[in-house]
Amino acid sequence: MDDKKMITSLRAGKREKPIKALYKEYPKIERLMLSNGLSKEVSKELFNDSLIILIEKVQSSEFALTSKLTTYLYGINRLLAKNELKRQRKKNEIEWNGSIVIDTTDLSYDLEKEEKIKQLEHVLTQISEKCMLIFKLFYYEKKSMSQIAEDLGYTSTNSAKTQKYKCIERAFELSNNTPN
Amino acid sequence: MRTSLENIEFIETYVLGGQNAAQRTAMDEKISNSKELTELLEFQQMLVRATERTVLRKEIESYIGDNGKSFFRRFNALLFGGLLLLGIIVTITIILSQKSNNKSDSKMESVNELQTDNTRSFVPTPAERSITSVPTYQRSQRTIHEDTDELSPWTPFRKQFFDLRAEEGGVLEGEDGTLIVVPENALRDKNNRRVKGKVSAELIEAIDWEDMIAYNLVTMSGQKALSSGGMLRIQFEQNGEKLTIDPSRPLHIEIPTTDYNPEMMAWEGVAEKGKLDWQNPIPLKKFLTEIPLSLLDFLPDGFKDEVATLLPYKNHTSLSSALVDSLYYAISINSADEDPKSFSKNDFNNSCYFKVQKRSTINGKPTDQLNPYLKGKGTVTGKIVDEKGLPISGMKIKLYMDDFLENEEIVTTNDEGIFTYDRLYAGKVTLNASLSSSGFTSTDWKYCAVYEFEYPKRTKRIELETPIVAHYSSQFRNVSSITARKTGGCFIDPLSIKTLKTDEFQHSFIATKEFEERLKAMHALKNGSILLDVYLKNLTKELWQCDQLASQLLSGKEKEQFEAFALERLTTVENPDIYQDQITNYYSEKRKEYRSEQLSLEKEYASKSKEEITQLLEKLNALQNNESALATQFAERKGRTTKIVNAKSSFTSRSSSNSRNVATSSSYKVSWYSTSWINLDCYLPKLGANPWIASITTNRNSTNLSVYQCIRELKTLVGLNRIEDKYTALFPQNGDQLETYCLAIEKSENQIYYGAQHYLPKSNAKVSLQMRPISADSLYNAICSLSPAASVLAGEIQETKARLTIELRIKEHQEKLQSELKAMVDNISKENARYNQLFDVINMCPIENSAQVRLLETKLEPQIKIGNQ
Repeated sequence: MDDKKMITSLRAGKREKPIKALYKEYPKIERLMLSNGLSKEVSKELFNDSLIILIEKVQSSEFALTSKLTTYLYGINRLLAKNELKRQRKKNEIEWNGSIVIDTTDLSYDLEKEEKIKQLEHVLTQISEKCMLIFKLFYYEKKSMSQIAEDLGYTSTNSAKTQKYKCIERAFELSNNTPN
Repeated sequence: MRTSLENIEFIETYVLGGQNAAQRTAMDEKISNSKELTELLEFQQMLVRATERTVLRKEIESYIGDNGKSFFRRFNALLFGGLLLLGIIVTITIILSQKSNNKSDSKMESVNELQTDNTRSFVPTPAERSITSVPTYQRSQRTIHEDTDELSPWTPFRKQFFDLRAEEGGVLEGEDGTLIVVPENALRDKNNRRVKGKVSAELIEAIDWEDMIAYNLVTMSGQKALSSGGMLRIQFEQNGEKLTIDPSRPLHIEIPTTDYNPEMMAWEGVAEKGKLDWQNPIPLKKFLTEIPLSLLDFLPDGFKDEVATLLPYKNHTSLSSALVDSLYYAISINSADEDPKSFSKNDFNNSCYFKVQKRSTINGKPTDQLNPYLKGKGTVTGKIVDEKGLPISGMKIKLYMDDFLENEEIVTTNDEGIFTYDRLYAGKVTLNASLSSSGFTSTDWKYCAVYEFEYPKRTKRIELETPIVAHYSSQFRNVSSITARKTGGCFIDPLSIKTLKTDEFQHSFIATKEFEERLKAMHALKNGSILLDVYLKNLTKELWQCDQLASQLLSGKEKEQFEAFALERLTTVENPDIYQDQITNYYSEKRKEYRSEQLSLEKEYASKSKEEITQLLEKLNALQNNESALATQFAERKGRTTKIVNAKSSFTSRSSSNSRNVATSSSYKVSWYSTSWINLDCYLPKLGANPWIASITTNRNSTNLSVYQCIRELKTLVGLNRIEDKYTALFPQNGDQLETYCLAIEKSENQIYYGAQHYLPKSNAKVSLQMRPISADSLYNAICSLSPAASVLAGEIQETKARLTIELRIKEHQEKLQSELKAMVDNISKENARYNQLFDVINMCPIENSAQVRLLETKLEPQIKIGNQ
C-alpha cells in the first residue's frame, strides 16, 4: 500500500488497511524503544498513540506529506519516546537512525491540554455505556440528535438531548473529581 | 433544569453553530463573562477530542488484536508526568473550523434557495443581518397632499404619514395592522443615489373590503378575477421628490389575516384609465418569525378563564400568569398509582415531600433517569426537630441532587431525630422530609421540612451544624365529602407544555405564533399529545411537513384542519432576511403591549359589577342587531366623516384590536420594492362551462357609470362591462356565493350616485339597481352598510361579547363560592360553640383557648379572608 493510497483511505475513514500496513513497522520501533529502556507495554501504547496522532494529522486539511508516512511515524514515535523517558527521568537523548526529528516547538502543542484529553479518555471509560454511545454517535459519527433519538429508541429528540446533557454533566463532574 | 445543565445546553448549541452574527456575538460575550461557561466550552472541545480518540483507539486495537487494557494502567501511572502528542491544537482548530465552515456553507445554500423563491433579486450578507434595534415610527400629523394619482377613488384616499430617517430605516405600522419594515439605507433618489436624512412615508391601506370599494380598487388581473387578501401602497419622499426603493434592500411587508390562504401571491398594480390592473405576481414568503417563548401562550383555550372563576384562590386575589401556569402544570396526566415504586398516597401526598414529582415523558414512558440511586462517596448526617426544638423520630427523608437526580432511597430519622444519608455526589442537594398522620384520627397533620445545601467536593462526610426544623400543620378531615382528584384522561400533559418553554426550543418553529396556533388546535383534540410529539420529533423539518405528518394521524374535520395548516407551506424560523432581528424585536414589543392591554382590560372588567357587565352585553347585542348603527360605527372608526354624532364605542379600543392582529394572527409576508400598489391575491375558482349569469340594469343611463360585482367572502371587486344597457356578472356554479352584491357608482359633475343590492346569483338572474344621489360624506357609510354583520368590527364585537360572558361566569362563580364559604365558617363556629359550651361545664379555671382556635386557623385563614372581601 503506497502512501497516497493510505492517505486517501484514511481520509475516507477506511482505516483498517492503512493501520495494518503501518503496524508492520511496530516490531522495529518496539526494538528501538526497548533499547532505550522503555518497557514492552509502554512501547505498544506509545505506538498506538502515535498512530492516532498520525491519523489525526492526515485527516486534517493542512496535512502535506513532506516525507514518507513511515518516516513520519518514526518521527512521532521518537518524540513520544523522548517525552516518556523525560517523564521517567531517564536519559532522553536518543538516536534513531533514519528517523526525522519532530520537535514539539515545530507545532502548536499544549501539554496541559493533552493531559486533560488523556484524563478525559479515562473518564470516558467510567461513564455508562449509554453515554459513551451517545457521545460516539454525536461527536464522532456526527449524527443528528433526532437520528440518535431514533437509533437509541428515545421517545423524542428532546429526551435524547436531555440525556446527552446529563452525560456531559456526569463526565464533567467525574473529570473535576478526578485528582490531578 | 439546573444551571449547569442549562449551561451545557448553551455550550452545545454554541458549538453546533447556526446562529447569526448578532446572536453569536452575544453568545461569545456570555461565555467570556462566565467562568463556568468558559470551562464548559473548553471541556466540550476536549470531550469531542477524547471521544474521537477513544473510538479510534478501540478501532486500532480491534485490528491488531490488543484488548487495550494496559493503556489506562499506564495512564494512571502517568498522571504527574509531562508527555506527548503533537499538533493537536492545530488539528482541533482545523477540524472545528472545518466543521463550522461546512455548516455555514450548507446553510447559505439553503438560504439562497429560499431567497430565489421569495424575492426578486436580493442576496443577503451576514453583516446586513446584524441590525438589531430600529425605531418604530409613530404616524405623524400631516395635511393630505394634493392628489396626483391616476386613480379615481370614490372617496379620497385615507393616507397615513410617517417620518423616518433613511439611514436608519424603521418599522411602520398601519392603522389596519399592516406592518412594513424599511431596512436601513433602502431608499434612492431619482439619480439612484442613496438617500440620507429625514424622509416621509405615505401609506394607503385597503385591507378591508369596504375600503377597496370606496377606493375603486377592482381585483382584476387582465380578464381574470382575483380574490384579495388586502391591498396597500407605500411611497417615500424627501423635499417633495419621490424616492425609489433599492431592489437589493426591499421592504418587508406583512398583512395580518384571520383566514390564511396559501394560494395568495403579491401582485403589482398598474394603473390604466383610472383603474388598476394587477400584474407580475410574486410568491409570498413562507418562513416563520421567532418570538421569545415567554411571550407565547401555550395553554389550552379557556384554562385561564376557568382559573379566574376560582379567584380568590389561596393567597392570590388577582389573575397572574404565574398562578395560571402553576395550576396548569400541577395537573398530571398520570395517576400516582401507575408507578409501583411510589409510596402510598396516604404516606406521601404531602406537597413538601415530593418537591420534584416523578413524572413521565410525553408518551407515558418513564423518564430517563441516569441513576435513581445515588452512587457517590459522600455522607451527610443531620438532625430534624420540631418548632420547639424537640427531635422528631420517624421522619422520612428523600434527597434530590441538582434538581434532576431524584434518588429513590428513603431514610428515616431515629429516636434522636438523627439521620444519615450516604452515597452523595458533590453538588446541590435538596432534602425533603415529612411525617404525616396515619389516617385514623379526625385531623390530618404533618411535619414538613425542605432543606437545601451544597455538598462540597472531595469531602467524605459532612454534618449539618444546625438542626433542620420541620413545620407542623394540621387540618380537619371531613372524610365523607372529600372529592378525589381525577386521573387519566385525554389531554396534552401540562408538563410537556412546560418543557416547550425551555430555551432549547427558542430557535425552532416552536417559538412562533404559528406554532401557538397549531398547539391551540392540538389542545382541542383527544390525541393532542401524539400530535405534539410529531412536531417535537421533527423539529429539524419544516413546519408544513409536520403539519402533514400530523394530518395523517387524524380523520375528518380534524384532518382537514391540519391539512389546511400544511397547505400554508410554512417553513422554519431560519430565514435569510436582513430584517429578521427587526421583526423579532417588533413582535416581542407588540406581544408585550398586547399582554398589558389584556391585563388592563381584565382589570377593567373585574372592577365592574355583574350588573354593569350584563348591561354592557345587552348594549353590544343591540348594536350587533342594529345594522345601520354598526355601519355607522365602523365608518366612524375608519376615520370617515359621518354626520351622525355617536357616542364613543364602549368596548375594545382600536389600538387594542390592532396589536392583537399584529401580535397573534398569522400574516401574509412579502418582500417589496415597488412604489406602486401591492395587492395580495389569488385567482378565483374557474367559471366552468355553465356559469350562473346575472344581468344588471340601472336607472341611470350614463357611460360614466361603474358597476361592480362583489363577493364579500372572497374580497373581490370586479368591474363589469356594459353591453347595450346591461352589465353581465358571471359566477362559477360550484361556488356558493351568499354575500354577493352588485354596486353601481357614478360621479357626475361633483354629484355621486350610488346603488347597491344584495342578491343570490343562483336564483336571481336579473337585478335592477336603483341609483340615488348621495353626498360624498355618506358614500363610505353606505358602503359600510352593505354587510356590517360581516365587517371586522362585528368580529370584534363578537369577541368582546365572549370575553364579557366569561367575566359574567367568573362573577357568578365567585358569588357562589363566597356564600358556600360563609356557610362553612358558620357551621364550624357553631360546632365550636357547642364544644365550648360543654367545655365550660367541666372546666374549673379561666383559660386562653388559643389552642383550639389556632388549629382552625391553619385551615381556615384564607377562607375567612374571602368571607371578608
